[in-house]
Amino acid sequence: MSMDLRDSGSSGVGFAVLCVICAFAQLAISPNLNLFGGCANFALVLTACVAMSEGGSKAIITGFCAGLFFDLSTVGPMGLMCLELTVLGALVGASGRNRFAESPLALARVYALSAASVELAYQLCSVMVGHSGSLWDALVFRFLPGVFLDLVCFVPFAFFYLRQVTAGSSLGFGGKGRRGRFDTPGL
Amino acid sequence: MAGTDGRLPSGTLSSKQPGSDNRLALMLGAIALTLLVLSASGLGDGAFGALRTGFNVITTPIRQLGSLAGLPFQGVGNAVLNLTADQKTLSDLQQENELLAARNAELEEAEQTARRLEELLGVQSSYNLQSIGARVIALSTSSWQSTLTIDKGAGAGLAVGMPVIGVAGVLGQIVECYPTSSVVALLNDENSSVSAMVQASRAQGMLVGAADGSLRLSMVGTDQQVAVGDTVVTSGLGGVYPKGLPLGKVSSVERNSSQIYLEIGVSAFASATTNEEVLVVTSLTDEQKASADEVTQASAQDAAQAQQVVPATDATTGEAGQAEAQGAEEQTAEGGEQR
Repeated sequence: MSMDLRDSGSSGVGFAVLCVICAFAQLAISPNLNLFGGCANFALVLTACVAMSEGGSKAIITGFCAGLFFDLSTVGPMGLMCLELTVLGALVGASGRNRFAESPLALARVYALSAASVELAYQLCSVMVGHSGSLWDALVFRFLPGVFLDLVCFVPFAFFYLRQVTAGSSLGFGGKGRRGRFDTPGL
Repeated sequence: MAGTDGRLPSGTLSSKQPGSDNRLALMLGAIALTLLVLSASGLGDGAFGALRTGFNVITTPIRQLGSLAGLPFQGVGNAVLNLTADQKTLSDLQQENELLAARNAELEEAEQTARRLEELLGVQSSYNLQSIGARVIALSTSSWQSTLTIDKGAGAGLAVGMPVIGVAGVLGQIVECYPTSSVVALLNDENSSVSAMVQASRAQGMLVGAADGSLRLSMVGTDQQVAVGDTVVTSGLGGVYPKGLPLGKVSSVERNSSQIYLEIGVSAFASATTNEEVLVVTSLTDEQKASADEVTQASAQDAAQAQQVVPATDATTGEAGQAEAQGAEEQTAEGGEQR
């Protein structure tokens, strides 16, 4: 039980650090990391990391808060990213699997699909609510570069999570590795 | 064992209460959807605007910090954009660049002109000159004369004999005046001469030009104190040039025991090639003319020099002595200027 508490504590700190890093990156790095008008979405990265490592209610709440943070930091429609990341957190986190323990290819596939869905939905909704004038521009100059940047920005986080899993430690950003707290008999 | 295959055990927090997770997701989803609807319909614009403003105020320092950290990444993005720019874009940008470069040169020219005019106004103001501004439109067209042409003439009230000054000092004197332009003989013109004096010692003389373009201060006796670096200014004798205008600086002084005058070389302050706008002095005030005392002093200096010349002429019966004595008399009588 004491092991449980210790891991919960370190997991909480790790989660907080992850949130701070992503918030800083969203505010400071993302506006300057611009490719063809598309920007990296660190709120998506945070939600995906939490959803793929822990899932459950934590992923849903993280998605909601990260989406709201994203909406506040942009001039797009309020609540759109919030809704999308809430749904993403719920869907990806619902499987209850630690996807960082799976093959990197499968992890990349899930993340790429998630990022593409979120970005596509965001751009389509932006066009529908009138925040983006041209569908072509939204898809070519925002959606595709946006997905590409999302993938690039996810790489360091994924690498860190995969290392934690390989090292068999549950310390860090709250990832539950192969030998994490769930391996403790009795849980 | 759940941990070994990467799947969470069935007893985890997230999978213990799937119903509650769904309810949470629905609830938060509904809130987000409400926000979206309010935002899209414009009903919540005021509240959202205030929220975003507050958020931006709080996060501005972080954004500023990020703009520094993001510079290298921004450079990479720009480089990629530049690589993928099409020919038309590059061509348009090149054309725009050329236009901007031309515009920039034009503005720099205008700025320099404004600065020069400002300096000329300063000269006009500091010497209290009654003058007319003119633009230099041509330099000497003949190698025999050192002249420049200005764009004002008799139509603007100019006349032959009026002195012309630049920012640094006296340039010369109008020698030909047409209705819309005038020709100015520069100080270093072979036919030019100006009543001048050494500012420090008040030694009077004539600043004359030479064929090689140099300036010489003549008629200054060997008993006068002149040193290299002394400033030479107009003396005001003759009533053509205002008194005290800078002419040049003494560049060399030669004392020859067989001569009664010093050989003084002068380098002019003003240059025709660096002046695009000039002032033509149209009239002089009483303060700008040489005072009676200064005329008397000049006469006394000339008389003293003439007395030195006569014995020398008697002794040598040379023509040079006669010529110098005649020159000294002319300086006092005419006050110099155009020969």
